[in-house]
Amino acid sequence: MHELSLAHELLKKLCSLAKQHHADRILEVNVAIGPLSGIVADSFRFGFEALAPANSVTRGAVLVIDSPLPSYKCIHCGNILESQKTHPGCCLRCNRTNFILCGGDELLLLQIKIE
Amino acid sequence: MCETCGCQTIHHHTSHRRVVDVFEGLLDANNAQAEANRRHIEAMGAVAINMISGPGSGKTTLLEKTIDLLKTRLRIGVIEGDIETELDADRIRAKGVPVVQLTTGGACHLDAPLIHQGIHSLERQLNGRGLDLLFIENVGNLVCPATFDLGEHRRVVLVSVPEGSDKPTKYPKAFMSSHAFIITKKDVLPYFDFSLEKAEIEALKLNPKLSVISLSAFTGEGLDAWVSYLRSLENRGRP
Repeated sequence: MHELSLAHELLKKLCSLAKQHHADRILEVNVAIGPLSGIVADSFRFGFEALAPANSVTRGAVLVIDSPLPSYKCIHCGNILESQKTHPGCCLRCNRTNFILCGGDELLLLQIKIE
Repeated sequence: MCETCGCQTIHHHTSHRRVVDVFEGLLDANNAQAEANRRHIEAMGAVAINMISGPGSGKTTLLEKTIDLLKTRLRIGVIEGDIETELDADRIRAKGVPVVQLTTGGACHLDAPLIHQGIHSLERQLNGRGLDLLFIENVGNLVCPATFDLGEHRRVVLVSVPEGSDKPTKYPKAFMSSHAFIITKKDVLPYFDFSLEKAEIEALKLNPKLSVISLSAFTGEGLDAWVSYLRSLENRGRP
């Protein structure tokens, strides 16, 4: 449910970026939404596509969502693992199970294409 | 020459397509306000604790008991977040501590700009008196509040025994982003299939640094550990 308010924030940001770069329209928006960011990418897209037509600057903008795979660092041996899950299970090097998340919770506006 | 793209015309550069690298967090505006809130709370002399849980886990009841146990030793203030009503604020107000009720009007979480307003309302009530502990009781929801930094120094996630020991596994973000995990309503353990051990193991798998405390605000069991945790924050100065 908070995806809609975040999509609204992004659209406000896009309008101010368009103004800053003297552009009339936003053509494409690239964001990174990690699976562990707490944001559901599909709901975010729904919110974006529902709100974008309300403004001539963002109307028709294509939203491209990159979803980086979560990565974890073993706190015992430093080994880094990637896993789709919220916990990678056992460390493949030392067989222990305590990890620190080091990627996969991103929530970033990466790039825009404007004209 | 067009200053934007270097072509030979002056006015038509807006029709050129171009790519701009931005690389900003979608939550940057919230996070900047959260950082300002943190500094503001520190200037008041306080440590802020953001309490996150599903509805009905006993956040307000635990707060009532905490106030009873600590209010002679520490100056406590509370910001209550709810979708509607002043019910929780009324319960805290009855304990004789300053409280501000924030109603989100449907939104599923508190955010940093709302807390900014809340701090100012609280300051008007404090009228120059300082504060040691500021509790922020988030909207009852184990999902959305986990994404929003409010400017707290410690985040505490609560799960009550009737909810089940699978909650850490099912709602990982709240546990990954918290400092302490409080299991409430321990007195009803005999009537539910809840494993304290499983809940703790699963939570620590997600976040090895979590402090885990199980308690019952009803019987008082475990409240000493909770109070020690809070006092350690105070003794440590600003976390």
